[in-house]
Amino acid sequence: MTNPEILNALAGAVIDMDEEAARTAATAAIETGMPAYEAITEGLVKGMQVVGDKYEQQEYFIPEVLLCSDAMIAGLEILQPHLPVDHNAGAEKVVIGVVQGDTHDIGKNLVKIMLEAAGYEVHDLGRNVPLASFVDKAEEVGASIIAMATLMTTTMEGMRTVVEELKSRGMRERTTVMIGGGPISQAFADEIGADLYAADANVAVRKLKNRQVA
Amino acid sequence: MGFTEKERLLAALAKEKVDRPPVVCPGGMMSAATTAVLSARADYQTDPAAMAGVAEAIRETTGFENLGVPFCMTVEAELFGSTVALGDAGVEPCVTEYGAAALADILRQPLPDPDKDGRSPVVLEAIRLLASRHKDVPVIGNITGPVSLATSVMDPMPFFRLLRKAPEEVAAVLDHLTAYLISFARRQVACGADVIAIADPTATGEILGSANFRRFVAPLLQRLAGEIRAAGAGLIIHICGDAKLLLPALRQVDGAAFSFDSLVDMRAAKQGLDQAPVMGNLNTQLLHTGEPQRIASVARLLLNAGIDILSPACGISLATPRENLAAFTSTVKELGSLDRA
Repeated sequence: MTNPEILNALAGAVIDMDEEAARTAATAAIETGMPAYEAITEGLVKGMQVVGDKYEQQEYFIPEVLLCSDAMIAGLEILQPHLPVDHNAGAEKVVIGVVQGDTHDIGKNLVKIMLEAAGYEVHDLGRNVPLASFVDKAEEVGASIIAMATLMTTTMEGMRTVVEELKSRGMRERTTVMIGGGPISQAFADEIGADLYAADANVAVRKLKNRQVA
Repeated sequence: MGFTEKERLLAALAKEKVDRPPVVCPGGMMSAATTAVLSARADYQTDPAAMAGVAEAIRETTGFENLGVPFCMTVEAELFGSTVALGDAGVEPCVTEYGAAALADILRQPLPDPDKDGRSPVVLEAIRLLASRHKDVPVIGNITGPVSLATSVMDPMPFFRLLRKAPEEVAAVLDHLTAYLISFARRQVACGADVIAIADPTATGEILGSANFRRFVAPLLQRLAGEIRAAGAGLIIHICGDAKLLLPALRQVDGAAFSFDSLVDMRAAKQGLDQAPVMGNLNTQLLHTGEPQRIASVARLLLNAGIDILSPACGISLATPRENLAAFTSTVKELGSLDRA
């Protein structure tokens, strides 16, 4: 296979949810001497971007996005050992989780998948996350982004608490707060002083990429 | 001529003429068992008399025109092996550990007996108590929809993948779970439930897509609807999220009223459903944080939108003030017949 064919095969395997094809194409990339970084960013990640668009256009839904992500991971597992050690040194760090009192993590998991595909270093706190943990973790790993999700109106007020906590620890200016989930809206984000509201996983990545970093 | 609360709801469900739309909060996922109602009460998840007492207190303090039990979506999941934290006045019950690691684990489990296993007998006895004490108020029994039950018994992430990877096994599991839901619903009706409400918040258009909904969910809803109608009860099906894409599939489900989220245009939905009764859809965030006056004016808009049964749009926050719910129900009661005239 030529290099463009390999890149197409990598992207296509992700779009087609085909783990085996992703492994085959990743192996071909290594064998032809293509840099692993190029195979990932120009192959697998390009495919995942198409998946994100299909999800946003309601052509793909959660089952499809999960299986596409599995195919991407299958390819990554082969390519990653061939990356230079410092390949991800400059990546922006994100702390993500579902706020305390809520265990619905479908949306959060999708956002995590799309953020990782876009090159962010994601620290996933999981679900039902104690509010102070978001700020603790961001401080510990030096994250510049905190992403919070909830599906429940009961728990959305917890997001305000996290914003306040960032202020009281003097971290508000250097941290971008992004929120999302069923009951969340731009109006609520404005009200609690969050920086970004994302309606879905694809929008989340786009808004982070497009934001003005101070 | 005056309708009792029960006559009015049953007439609205049967598409018969009513003096005004009823205003209800069925229970289950859409329960008004708020912190205000639950504080100073105990054992309402496990003791039938206490559960019935909470259902009565909800109606008295909020004005909703029904009695509904239970107040959560965890009764069935517990029967299939999931671990449930029952919560308290400030925290809703939730699944803390899944009962099954794989689809086969669910299929292997024998169907529970609603009269014996877990908290189902508590729900049934509470329904019996409520029906015996309130001849003129509709008693609504609640069940969890099949997909939400499946994803409360096993982790949703592998389950969603299996929709594509092992569709036949998924269908078999949903069938198995639905068989239990039918027996539980039938026992609820036998114990005195006038109406059964089904909520399946995981089976949305956004999560599954309309093709999966049509394939996996709609046939089960049809089956549940047929069985519940045959048992002699009315039926409410609540669909979360933007249900617009699902209307053609829902049109196949006969004899149900459909309850929708606040982002659904109810006039369009009713049209898309061949004039089936629609229920909804007062924004639950407004109910939680809005001023009573604003809630009353939105309730008035909903009355003018031709909605057959007024209700909250989705699950309501435990922190919702009693006054806000009362503002909603009293507006419907005062203006419902005027606006209709």
